Amino acid sequence: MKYSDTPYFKVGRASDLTGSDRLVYRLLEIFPGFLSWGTIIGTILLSFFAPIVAAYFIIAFDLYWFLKTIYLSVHLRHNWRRIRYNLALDWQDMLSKLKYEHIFHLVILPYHTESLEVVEHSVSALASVNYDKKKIALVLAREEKAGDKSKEIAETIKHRYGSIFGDFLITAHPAGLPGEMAGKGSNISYATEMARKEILDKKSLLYEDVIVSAFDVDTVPYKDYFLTLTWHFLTAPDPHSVSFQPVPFYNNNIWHAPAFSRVVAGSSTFWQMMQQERPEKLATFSSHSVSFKSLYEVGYWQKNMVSEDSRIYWNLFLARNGNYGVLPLSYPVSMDANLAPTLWQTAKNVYKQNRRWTWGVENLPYILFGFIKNKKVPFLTKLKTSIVQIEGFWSLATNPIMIFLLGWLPVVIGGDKFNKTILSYNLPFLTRNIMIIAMLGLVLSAVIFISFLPERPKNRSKYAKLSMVFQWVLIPFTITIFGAFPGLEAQTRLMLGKYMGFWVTPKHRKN
Amino acid sequence: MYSLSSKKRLWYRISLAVIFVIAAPLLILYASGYRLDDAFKLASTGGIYISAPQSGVEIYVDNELIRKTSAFQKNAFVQNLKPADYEIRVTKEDYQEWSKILSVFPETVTEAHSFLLRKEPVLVEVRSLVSAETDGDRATSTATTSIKQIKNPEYDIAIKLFEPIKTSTLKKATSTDIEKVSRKLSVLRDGDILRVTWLGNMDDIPGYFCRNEICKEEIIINPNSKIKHFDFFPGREDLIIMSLENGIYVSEIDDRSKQNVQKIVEGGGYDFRILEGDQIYIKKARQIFVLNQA
Repeated sequence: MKYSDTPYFKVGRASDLTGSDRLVYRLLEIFPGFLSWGTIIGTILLSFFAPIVAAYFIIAFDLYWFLKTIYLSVHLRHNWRRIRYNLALDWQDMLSKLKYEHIFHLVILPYHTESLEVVEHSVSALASVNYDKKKIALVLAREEKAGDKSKEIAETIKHRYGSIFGDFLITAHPAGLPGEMAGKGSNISYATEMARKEILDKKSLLYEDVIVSAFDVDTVPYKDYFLTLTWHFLTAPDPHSVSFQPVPFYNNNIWHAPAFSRVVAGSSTFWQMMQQERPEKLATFSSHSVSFKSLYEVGYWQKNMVSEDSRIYWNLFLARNGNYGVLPLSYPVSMDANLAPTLWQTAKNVYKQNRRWTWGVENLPYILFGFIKNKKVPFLTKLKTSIVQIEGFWSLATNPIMIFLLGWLPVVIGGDKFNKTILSYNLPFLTRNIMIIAMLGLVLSAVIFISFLPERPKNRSKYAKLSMVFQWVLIPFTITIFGAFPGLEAQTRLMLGKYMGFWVTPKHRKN
Repeated sequence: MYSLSSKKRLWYRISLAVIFVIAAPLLILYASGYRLDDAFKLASTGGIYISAPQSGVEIYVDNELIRKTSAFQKNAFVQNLKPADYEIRVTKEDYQEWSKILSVFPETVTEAHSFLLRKEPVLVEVRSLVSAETDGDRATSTATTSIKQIKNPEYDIAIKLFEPIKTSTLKKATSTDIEKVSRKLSVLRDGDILRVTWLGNMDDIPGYFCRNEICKEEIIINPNSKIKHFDFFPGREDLIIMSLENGIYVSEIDDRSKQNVQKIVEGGGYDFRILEGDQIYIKKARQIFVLNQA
């Protein structure tokens, strides 16, 4: 029996299972939260009962974090160079050396209550990419429950852009289908199946020649995205054993977003850039592309969970017994940074969006359970993948808290006896100095961030660019408040079985 | 352009791991006070932490100026000190000098809290009567003001502080009848000496009770004079203010070397009281002064 045929292949949560499987899956759901809370509580207890040991641990941890920062900066810098190289490359010329006329692109653009302006911005960008648009089918995947306004938007877009693309399909995902959770996964799966019937099959296209790009509705591909994607698809050793991941830039509205939102958006881009140089740690995220053949084999994206963008990767990874990867494109697509009418609302949205992203921790029990069940995945692959994933979620939720909040704890709660030691006097200085040196790396962040900025709108002061540099001092706050805290909340919810639903990030544009 | 090769990445990882393995113990040793001595041997050092109550104070360790305090930094931390005795001196123009010989122990910070009183005290007299302007006859069109002498309520409050405590409010009278307790310290008068004991947890005992890790239970303050009255110095639990036969003095409890004793006022007939743990009122005969501590 193939793993993709098992009843637990598309499990969303423990309650979808029965018997011992359910218990094991539930324990695996508890595990990440238990580990993160255990680390934080353990550090607090250690600071109280054995402050000297805690101080040693904190110094070693600070050093580890500092060296990790250097390591990641090397990756970031290399990817920066690679993206700039790729942006300057003549992809049309590169592709012209290959036979690519048979390749067909299916672009899925799901939306819910987003405005015409947001949808049109993405569609008009798609309409102006450097690629034969007749080889692109655009599927506007709307939610039926979004009502007439959403339908009007789809019709308006079709009227304005329908003739540009080879095919233009509007789908309306019905609400409340059995076994589905309201969210992007169920919508794009429905839309892709409709596109198969209405476009691919009617045109008798070979599934292996079709590349699906599942975009968030605010995704604006850079001009050569489809040329780049097609070239990588055709030159990959096995294009059906990899997903294709662009780098998300949050540039659409970056000049109007407040500083903390820009820093969070920039940090997210940097993280993806670093991961592009470490593909073994990369899973698909947000807007991504994948061969239709692979998608069809596993029945598209999961419909019963939130993080469908990364789950599809793990579905394929387990279905192919570990023989599946992500091919980093090192080529950008642009998306929206969080922006709401008020600063407070923006802050809330940034927090909620990061909580949804870090809810990707729901993949961890899925992966570990899959490794228990699928004996065909090599042990070493299981071990390496498990360590990478566990460390990833653990460090996201705990490291900023340990670095920025718990570094001084032994001095505060370690007692007078500890406070009379040289160690207690040196601990805050050492921690502070390591952090200051590590923060020098932010200069690189500022340079990279500025190098990718779109042109400054006329209504923005020329000093606005200065704030794009100085904003990076907010990093200790943003990675704690909008990184670790939502990450910890997501893990706690999973641990307690308080499952999250899909939260659509509101898209707001300022003119 | 290719992605970072796995070989290069492995090399980075190994290099950084080697740095970690070497640097982590070195950092921990450094933070714990270990230094290379002249013979390139690892030697354990200690440190001294001196706090000063004001800005503009010069702190010397073995006659070497370590810090001149500012409004933002009123203390000095010196480390890399070999275990030995060090002479600490804290000075400021127009203030009495504070000095102490402190022992430094391995991996430990020896703390001391200096205090500096003015050489010449600033005493502001609290008069029993004060002048007050009063409006004249409001009924007339010409406004006039007159100056009247009225009772000063502050004087009344202060003078009451010096009234003898009624018998009913006294605790049982013994030779050690007067006790001052400040949170976890108790000070008992035993004849002409004061016995200071720590009431709290031994883990939290102030450093001046201890030499390295050996702590004593009691410190004695012996002013060699009859103690008329004593109290904790406002804002400080390590200082005792005493009115003696020849004036009012402040002594530190710390007896790790000779206790620093500084005068507030010299001469017979002075007494003091503290109002609400803050203001020091000094009385001589019927005159009341408030000590300006700025």
